[in-house]
Amino acid sequence: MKKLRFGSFAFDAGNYAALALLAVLMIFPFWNVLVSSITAPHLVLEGAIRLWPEQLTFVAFTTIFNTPNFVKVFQNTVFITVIGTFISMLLSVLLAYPLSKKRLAGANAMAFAVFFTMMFSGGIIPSYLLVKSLGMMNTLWSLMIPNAINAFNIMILISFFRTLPEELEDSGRIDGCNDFGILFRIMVPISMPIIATLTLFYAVAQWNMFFQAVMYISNPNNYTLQVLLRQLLIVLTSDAVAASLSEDVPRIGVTVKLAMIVVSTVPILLVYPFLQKHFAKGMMLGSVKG
Amino acid sequence: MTDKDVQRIAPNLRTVPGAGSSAQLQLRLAKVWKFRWLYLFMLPGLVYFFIFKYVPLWGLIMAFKNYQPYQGLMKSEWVGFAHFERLFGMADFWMLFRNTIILGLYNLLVFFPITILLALLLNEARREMFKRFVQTLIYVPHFLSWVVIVGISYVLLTTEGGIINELLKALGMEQVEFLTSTTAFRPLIVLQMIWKDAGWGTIIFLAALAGVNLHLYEAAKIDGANRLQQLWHITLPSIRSVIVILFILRLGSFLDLGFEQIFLMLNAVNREVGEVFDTYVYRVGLQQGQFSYSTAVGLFKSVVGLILVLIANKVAKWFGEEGIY
Repeated sequence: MKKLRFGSFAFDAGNYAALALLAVLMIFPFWNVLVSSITAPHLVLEGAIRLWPEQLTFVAFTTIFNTPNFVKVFQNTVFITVIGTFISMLLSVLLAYPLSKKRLAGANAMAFAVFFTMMFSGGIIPSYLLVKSLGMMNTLWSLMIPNAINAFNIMILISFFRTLPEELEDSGRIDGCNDFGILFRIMVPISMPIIATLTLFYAVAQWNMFFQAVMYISNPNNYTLQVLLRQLLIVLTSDAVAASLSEDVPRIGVTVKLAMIVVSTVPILLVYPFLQKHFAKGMMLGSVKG
Repeated sequence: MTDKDVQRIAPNLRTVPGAGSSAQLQLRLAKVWKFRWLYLFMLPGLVYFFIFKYVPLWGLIMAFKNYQPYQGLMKSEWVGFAHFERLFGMADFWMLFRNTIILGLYNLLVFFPITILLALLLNEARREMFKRFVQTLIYVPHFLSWVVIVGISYVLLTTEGGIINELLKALGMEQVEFLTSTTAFRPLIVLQMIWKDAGWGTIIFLAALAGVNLHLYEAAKIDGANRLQQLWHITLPSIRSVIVILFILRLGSFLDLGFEQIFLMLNAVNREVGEVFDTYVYRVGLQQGQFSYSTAVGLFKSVVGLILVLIANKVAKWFGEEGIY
């Protein structure tokens, strides 16, 4: 019995150490970017590992915000995230609720039609030509409408709605609600955990959207942060970035890159704790049933 | 049948009771009328799926035509399987095939087991606070975009002052051009996948693990099983179904490697190990304008993918699991 207890202790110690190490490894690159973005550029170029900022400066951030195109790009990204998420959520709830009713004629067939799109799709080119023929090229709509509904999220919603007791609907009817009232006054409020979770999924997908933006948008006025970020981080060298800026700070190119990462991640990361209360519960429900 | 049709027909039918052979139809229509709101709710979503998911399926016929944008899809000439013959006859086909399969295997055999392992470790961490804290940290990278993940990798790995190369220099080793290396490409892709999504991937396993009956562990302890034995004989078997289902799903999307990630990591030097079907379709189709040929490549990929799902699902059923449909 004693041996067992010691073994168990060693197991725990090893486990906690491994987990702590992993967590640090996973968060460190991002932390390093965050800290370096507010450190003096010449220090960053030395390439040392840094845990805290040195010679604190926000010059990289002011430079970014003074770049003519940046504010427009930031607005575009916020726009497609807020409006796009709203459209996605509305359409998803409206579609999934009826599909969850087994008594509804045709519901099963239609649910299968939705499910099927997860397994087989037309692919890149037909989708591209479709968006083109709908006249959506180079508009922000092309970043919100063609991918408005995620079939997997519909499946999660359907299975969640099926777990709700039917008496809820009956009680709504007795109180004089029609289906519209039942859905939005009863079903949606009690489904908040799953709705918050899916809202988070949609919002993150919209904010981080890159492929569609590269395919459909060529006018710099309609760029999103991800497209701008790619040019800055991957296509251009630090010196080229610095040369494109009017600011005259030595070696600023490298911290501008880092600050750009921060500006394009922190807003969406802020949504996470805000929704986390519901989210932990919603994710459990969604994954167990889905 | 749309809601409007129902509105038009159903009330009339109700005023003509028992119209002989149409009695059943009448009953059905009355039922549809009763649920008219629900059908109305569905309408926008169904229209969405029709236009954006099913119309592109119709567009697939251009894989068998020589699509000319000015002629339109219908008038373009049929060419049968010519595009497929070109694909299979091409030397690059085997490169694409090999790259896709190898990256898929990395994903299935390295990334997937690591998420399971991570979930098991987290499940064994009994201190709630610690567990919650670690979870919060390892979920964060999931919320970063691929542009950010690849961008940070560039910042860390570049030879112009990236931390990793500075470290190598400090240790007296030679600097490595990770970003243009053909040998580093695949390991880098997998490392990025692990960094971004391994933590997130644990959620579904942890949810399944939360349902394990704790009495089983009590019983095992009485039988003298140590922690590792408990893990092996109780914890793992209890999430077997989830593992099988996720394995099927992953196998089904075996060819759908993250387009964005690979696209962002590709450059002229590593193309020979990194180009996969999706990036090839993008390059040849959208950048070079060979719409029909690239659609054929995409269709080939989709069909193989579908076959893989069907096979995986069958196999799962043989093993007595539920499968995904």
